[in-house]
Amino acid sequence: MAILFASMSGITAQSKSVSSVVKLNINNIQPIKKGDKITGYYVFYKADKVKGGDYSYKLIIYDENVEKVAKKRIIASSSLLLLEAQYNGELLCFKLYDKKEKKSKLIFYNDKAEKIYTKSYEVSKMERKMILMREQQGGSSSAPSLVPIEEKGFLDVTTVKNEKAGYQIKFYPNDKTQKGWKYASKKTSPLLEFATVMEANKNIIVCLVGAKKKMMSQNASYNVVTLDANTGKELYKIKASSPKYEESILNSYYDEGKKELTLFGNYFRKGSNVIKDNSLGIVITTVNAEGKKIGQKYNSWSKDIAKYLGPSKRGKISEIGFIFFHQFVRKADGTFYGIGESYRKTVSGAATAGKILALAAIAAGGTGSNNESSFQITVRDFYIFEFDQDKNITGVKTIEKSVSRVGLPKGAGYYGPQILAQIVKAQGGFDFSYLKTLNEGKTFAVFYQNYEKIKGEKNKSVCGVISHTDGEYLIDKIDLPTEATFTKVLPAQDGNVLFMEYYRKDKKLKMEFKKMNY
Amino acid sequence: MLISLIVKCSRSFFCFSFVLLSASLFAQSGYEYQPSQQDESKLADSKNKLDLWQKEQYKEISGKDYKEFHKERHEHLVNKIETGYYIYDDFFYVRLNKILQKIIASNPNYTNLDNTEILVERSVVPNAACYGNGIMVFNLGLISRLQNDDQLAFVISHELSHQILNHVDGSVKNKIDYLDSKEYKNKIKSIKNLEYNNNTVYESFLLDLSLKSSGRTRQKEREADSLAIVLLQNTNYKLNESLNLLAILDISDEPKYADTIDYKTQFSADSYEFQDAWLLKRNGLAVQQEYDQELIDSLKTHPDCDLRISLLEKNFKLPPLQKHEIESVFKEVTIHSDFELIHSDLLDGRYGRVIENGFVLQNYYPDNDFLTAAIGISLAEIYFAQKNHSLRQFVPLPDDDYNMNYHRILLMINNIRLSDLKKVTLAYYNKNEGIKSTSHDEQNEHLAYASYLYLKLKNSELLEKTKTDYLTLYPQGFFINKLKTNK
Ligand SMILES: [Zn+2]
Repeated sequence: MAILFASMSGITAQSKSVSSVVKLNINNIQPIKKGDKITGYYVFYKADKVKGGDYSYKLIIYDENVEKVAKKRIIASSSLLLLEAQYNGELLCFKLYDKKEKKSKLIFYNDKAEKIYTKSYEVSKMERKMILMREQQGGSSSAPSLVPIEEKGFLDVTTVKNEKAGYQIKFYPNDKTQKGWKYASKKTSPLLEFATVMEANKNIIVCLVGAKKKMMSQNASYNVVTLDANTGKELYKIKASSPKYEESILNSYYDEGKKELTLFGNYFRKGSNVIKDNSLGIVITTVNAEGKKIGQKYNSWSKDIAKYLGPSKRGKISEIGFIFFHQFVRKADGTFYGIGESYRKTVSGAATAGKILALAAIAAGGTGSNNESSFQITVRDFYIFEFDQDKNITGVKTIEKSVSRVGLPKGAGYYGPQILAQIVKAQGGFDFSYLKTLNEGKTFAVFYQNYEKIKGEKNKSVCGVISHTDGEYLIDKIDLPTEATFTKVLPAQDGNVLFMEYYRKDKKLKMEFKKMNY
Repeated sequence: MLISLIVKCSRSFFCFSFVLLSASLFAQSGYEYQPSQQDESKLADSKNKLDLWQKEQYKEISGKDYKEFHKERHEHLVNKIETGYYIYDDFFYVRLNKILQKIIASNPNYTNLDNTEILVERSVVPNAACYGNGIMVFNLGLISRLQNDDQLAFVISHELSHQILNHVDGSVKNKIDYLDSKEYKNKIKSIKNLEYNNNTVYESFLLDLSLKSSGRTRQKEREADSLAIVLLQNTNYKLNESLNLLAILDISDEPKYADTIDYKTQFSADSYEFQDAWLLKRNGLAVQQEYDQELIDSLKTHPDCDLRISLLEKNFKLPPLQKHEIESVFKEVTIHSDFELIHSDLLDGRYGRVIENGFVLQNYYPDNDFLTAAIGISLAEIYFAQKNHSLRQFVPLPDDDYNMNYHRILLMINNIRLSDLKKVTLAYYNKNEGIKSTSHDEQNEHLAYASYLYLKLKNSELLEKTKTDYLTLYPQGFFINKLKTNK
């Protein structure tokens, strides 16, 4: 019998609005992930000046329904960035970077949102450059450097200074009384070495390790290294090549039951360059628990794949240009799917956005000045490659969408297709957002965002899902609201997405879940 | 008890004759629900009264913010009256206002209560409220929990006490005066001038204000409880029912019925396989909510009921609390409010709630056409909403904090694919042939709308004709707006 005044309105609208968004910027709301799952969100902002020249920051943690769970205060210098947040089922880990101190900091919270421990460390020059680049892009298009291992701990992947630049993978256990471990490139290595974690579970860590002579060198070699998750000791190493072909690695799948590793990559003529040259096709390699290759399937563009591309494109793979593979996914029935987006280099007409160009120039190692190339990348359709349980290609599904164009920095026109794809990816030039399996692994869903061009109508921005269930594809789309000053779509639990709209006039941030059809 | 016995028996041949014999009995123990009809003249009177009150009071008051408050309150209520939030019927509205008038008539010392009125709100929240301008609101969700008129009388008397004690306008005026005061302005200025921690200090100042104000609010609740008893002492309502009422409020965040719904059984059909995974929760962030002063007040709809009970016992020497059943003359009130709540949820689009409570009530009223239709309508509306991505305007995401039955239907709606949802919905209609029938009379509008949605699901060519029939048969129908906006 409280005195209710501003009582509840009609429908149980699941849209929430935060009215005091003075400090809220649409970009400081980010998801807390657990691998490819969304377990919550956080908001991070600078709150106050404190004694001694430092500042206090607020970190607000929300659960997957955007219900507030905890509020934390962090003291740091005037420029603290929150880079990433991951959850491993037991602990939450936030990775922060203090620009002034040039230090990274990991903070671990338990299931009562209490701080368990923190770790600070100096950041190498190379890593600083990469962090700043990411900050300017305002997103997280690059691979995560913080990797959760279910109920075990977290991996932190960083670039360190060696003879040249090297990598370091550090394991932080959930139980702080236990010892962590470190796996790193050799300090004396004459090469530039870099690593990405492709898989991490409580038994095994699968990393892709690359090495090249110089940053912009177009010649690199790749190895897959697997580590014992308990000790960090190398289990086995696989070189991406065979007596017949040169090979690259794009993605992996680890079968915990069979303890088999499946690697997806491109293959090339012997002696060619895996970064610069055109590939001959897709290779799928199976590796057993001892690290022995027990099967390799080569699917060539010209023969095996071309026959699935439909009459208009049959045998004319060159018309498509190149395909960039975002991810490979395995469904519950054991079939595999490779999600690709096509792109090709074209001669640019009008000048494209300057900011993007500058960023691309930094990505390419340039100075960031507005040097426009006369080339651009045209991103076109989705191609979904279907493989059976034995990794034989069984079909290719083309999903047409509107063309988008990405400008290239000067000189980039001469780069090989793989580097060009990386530049496009770093700029967010592809429409692919993320991939999920749903429906107990019987469905996979590709979430994407793009502009739809419709004749005689204004372009509209859409959020879409391409899903596959029981042998059938389904495409679902939602138009993004246009009345809002800014709109952003964040990933959300299960088949949902989280729409965020900011209205400058009312200083209002509206959040609404939408369930997509799949 | 009798009802469930018959249902069990009807499965065996032996009991067949018994079922036939008791068919008439069965109909009696069932409930023929008819939605409360809006009495337009009562609604118009109520609006006029409100307008008049606003006109007269508005002249008397001064201060821009205070005037703004009066205007907003008036607009808020008028808007809710016009959009059908309140029930002006012969059942609830008349019953509650009779009690109010009885209390007022028994307490002639209190004047200026001529224009007070109780409105019955279509809200499931077990609560009541006083707006300060003579309007008091009693939610259906509270009515459905009560056991007798004495408890109704205590709640009404309590809200009337807020009005008599000028609690609402008084606290708003105090707040406005405080925000205008030198004290407040100097405080804000001093926070702004701090060298460090301005925002943190400002936040804790605001929190402190809201804590103080909620402290005052609780004090006012106790005052209203006391005056309520004083007013009731002049009537013949039983005073110690106030203790039972508070005990009911104390557990009002729990669902009214303890039945667990087995959705798998409810939705099982030959045409598809019910997937257990539809009811599975995928784990999100398993982090406990931090203890937070700001949240504490909102956790319970009715905090400190224990304290309120002991204060009343002590101050008025009331006999101790004695739990008992719903009075038989009051049964119709609670039953009708249970059904009216489902109807309200249907009108407001809370389809998940309709399915949950529809199945719960089916345990007590099996074969009730209204319940079957309400569930069918909700399934179909959820399907259409999901199809055009407006689902979340009607159905929230699952959350462990909801009661189990509601949480599980939300899980199912969240997990199920659109094509499977269509199968489930069609199977439900096929299992309940009655809600597919296209011939109707004035008495079964819900069935008519359910069958319209069925034809829409089936993409039937009869759809337009059914729509026209509906509009002819129910020119004032509950679903006219939905029908018109449906493409
Ligand atoms: Zn009260």
